Amino acid sequence: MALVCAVATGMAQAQSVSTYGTPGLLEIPTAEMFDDGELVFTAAGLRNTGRATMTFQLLPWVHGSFRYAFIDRLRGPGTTLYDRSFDVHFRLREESRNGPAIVMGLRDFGGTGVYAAEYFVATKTFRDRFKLTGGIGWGRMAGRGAFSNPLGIFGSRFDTRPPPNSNGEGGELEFGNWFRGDAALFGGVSWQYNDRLTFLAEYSPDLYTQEAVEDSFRVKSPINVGAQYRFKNGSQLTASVLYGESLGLTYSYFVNPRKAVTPGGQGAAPPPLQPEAQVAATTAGRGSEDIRARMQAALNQEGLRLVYLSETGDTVRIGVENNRYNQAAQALGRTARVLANEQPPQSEHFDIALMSNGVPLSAVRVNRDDLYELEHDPDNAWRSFARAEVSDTLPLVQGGILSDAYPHFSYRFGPYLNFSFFDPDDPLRYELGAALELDYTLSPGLTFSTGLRQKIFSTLDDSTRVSDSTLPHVRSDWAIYARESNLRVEHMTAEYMWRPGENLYARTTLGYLETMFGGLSSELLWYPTDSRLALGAEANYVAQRDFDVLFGFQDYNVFTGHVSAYYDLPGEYHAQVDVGRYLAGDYGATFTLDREFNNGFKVGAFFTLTNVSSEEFGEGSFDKGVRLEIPVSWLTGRPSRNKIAQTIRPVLRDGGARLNVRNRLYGVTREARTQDLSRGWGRFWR
Amino acid sequence: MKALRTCLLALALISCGEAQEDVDLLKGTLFPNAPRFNPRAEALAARRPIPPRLEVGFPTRDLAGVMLLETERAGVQTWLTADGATITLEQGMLTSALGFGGGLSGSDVRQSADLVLGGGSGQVERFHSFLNGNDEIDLRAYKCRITQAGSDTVVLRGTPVATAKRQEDCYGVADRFTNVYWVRNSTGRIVQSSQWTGPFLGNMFIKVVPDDS
Repeated sequence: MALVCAVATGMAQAQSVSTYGTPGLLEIPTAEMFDDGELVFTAAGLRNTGRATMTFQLLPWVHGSFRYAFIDRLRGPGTTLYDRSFDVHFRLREESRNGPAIVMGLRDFGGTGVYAAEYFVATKTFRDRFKLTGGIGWGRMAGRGAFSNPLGIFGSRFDTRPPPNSNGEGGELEFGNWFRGDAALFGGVSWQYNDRLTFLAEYSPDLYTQEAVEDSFRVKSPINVGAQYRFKNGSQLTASVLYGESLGLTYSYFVNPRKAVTPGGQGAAPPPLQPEAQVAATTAGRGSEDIRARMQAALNQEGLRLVYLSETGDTVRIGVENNRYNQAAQALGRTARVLANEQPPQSEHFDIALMSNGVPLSAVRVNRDDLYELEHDPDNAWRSFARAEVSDTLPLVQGGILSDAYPHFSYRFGPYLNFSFFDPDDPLRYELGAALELDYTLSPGLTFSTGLRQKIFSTLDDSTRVSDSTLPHVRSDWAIYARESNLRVEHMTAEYMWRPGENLYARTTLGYLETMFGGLSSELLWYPTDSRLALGAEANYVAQRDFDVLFGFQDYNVFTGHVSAYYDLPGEYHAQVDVGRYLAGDYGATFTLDREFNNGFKVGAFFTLTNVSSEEFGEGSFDKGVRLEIPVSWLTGRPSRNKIAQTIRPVLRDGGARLNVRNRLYGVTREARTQDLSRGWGRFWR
Repeated sequence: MKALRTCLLALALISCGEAQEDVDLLKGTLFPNAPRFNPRAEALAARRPIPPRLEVGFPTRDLAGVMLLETERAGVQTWLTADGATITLEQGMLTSALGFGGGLSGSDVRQSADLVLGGGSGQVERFHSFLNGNDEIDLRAYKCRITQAGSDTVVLRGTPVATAKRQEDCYGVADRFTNVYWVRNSTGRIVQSSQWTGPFLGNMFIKVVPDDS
């Protein structure tokens, strides 16, 4: 039985991917899903057409895609159309022994409509290796053999399909068109020859009608055939003959966010607990200063900065800043071990507070005896979490903050890389340079920071596009910023963070807040320790900075701010809603949904609706995008707090634009609250 | 292009502050075999008399090295490599391996230890917990058959030592593996073994280095 299961799962992995980057044969879709949480990057090329697609399996039964396509000669010789599109697919029925899987797909549901199609498709697997697919499609799919819409029985509105892109700007949901007009059938088969090789054949009704006008692509036959090869790393290459006209190549790369480069990481192991008798013997002759100095050195070695220390009876209270670990739980575990080894055995309880710039985020109580009992227990992660007590903060006593902890100076100098996507003149622009960041924490909570950037290689500043926005140019002048700046003061701020009360955090920042704006920003966050919900309010008065990104301001200033709700949904989901006034003075709300994996890998999407009309907004109709965040430790297997974060917007315009102030409180505090601690607790003993 | 490379290299060389960490990471990725030194390991190596040592290796990765005994507490020994990775041994049986990439974080191998050291054979169960790539702990149970595999001579620092060889074949839901132990006849202790660390790195070869005395 185990062998049968192994064979079945081995087969299931060979998921063929279409030129559109979604589960499919060659051009037509199938009713399959990727593995839950998987990210699939696909590049496909056929005559005069290239498609790059990122598909994310958001839920076991839903996947969403973002696609960037270029079509040469679509509007005549020498022209290239760059097209961005979003797809979403829903599995309506899972495959069973006797019935097929059924999927409803919406392709290019919100773009300019070049690829707009809707379909229902069914796939059934026979004898593990043979898959039969058939479906009915509307829109672009209703080409060869099209017949009048069977949905016409529900009303005559289904009989005709209005022209796409009704507002001329793209970006709006074209649900008025969905499933309307003629329909056509499609189908195909795949046969998995072995673990590596799969053969594919299909009938595609797509006539490439728009492409045929200027002879960009001609369809000679509806039959496509191809072979797909799966490499050792799991990526796949498909070669095909499409429509009797073109060779096709498709390459897909699969990323499973749950699988970091090494499962347990390659960073140094934690210091083992010394026998209690040995700790008693070595600490007996030491004064408290000596003990503190040794503890500080041992913590430093683990990447932790000791900033607070006080003792009452059998309890040691300690505050540390974590400069190394992606998971706060790992920082807690290391601190607890150091305490057990360096503090005399009379100290039985350790209250450990995680601090950020001198502000305590949360405190966790760990007992010495529990450490000894559980260090080598196979189930120590869960059992130690059950015994740890998380509280809002430490009762900080006067004199507890170490005299040598503040003022504290830190700096960082290294390379940086910026991207701009989807400019029709150059779809991928970048800027590479050197960045210097300085932080000076004068006293707990009060920090002066600056960040300087000097570009070295840049194609961002080659852009000569002029913003046609009718709104204040709060973001769309990015090309002018890139052109006219050289050495940039990215930010220069005085920031004060404090805790006005239990469950509350506050921040005030004054100065040059971000590349394009400077001013005053204030924020208050309510976030109980073990709550899934956090509520925040932020108010900012900002002025737009000069294009040279040095010290001057332009004439435009605005009062902007939001109230925000953050909710940590069960499972791996996180939702955020921000309601308020945006930089261009528009009012509205931003909705964000992220899938957050335990290890810190995040995939999310957002959109903003404001009182700016789609005509005023311009291309894209409203602000939206997807974002990816990858912990550096996920890529390298070594502990690091750094992340690679990238937001991808189809187009960056002025409506629904939000201020990018640093250190928003939710991001600073979240790692130390119970929800995040419990998720990362597997690393307490690592 | 050359200018770009030079520039990047220059930037990397003068990177400092927290960025130093990034550079270390980059170096580690580009030159995975370059030595890395851990301050705890350096302190331990400077200790005299030299702490007890193990010769270890991962045959699947063609890696080999020496580990020093860092601590022994509650019957569990923690051994440390020069770059800060550790294993723990309980009566010579491997219970954890951290810092090598795999995530064997804890084990219950008492049933196996009783049979292997007691010279018996039969069925036992063992339990392992693994830290996975998503920072979660996977608890796994295995059924194992322990058999006598004859006698064998192990050479410890040039001295042939008579041992009894024991083999343990285990299977669980997702994995199967084989551990081999060489138990010294005169002391009844494991002097050499090949033990499974998890699916990521496979078996680890462990051999004790006797004291100079």
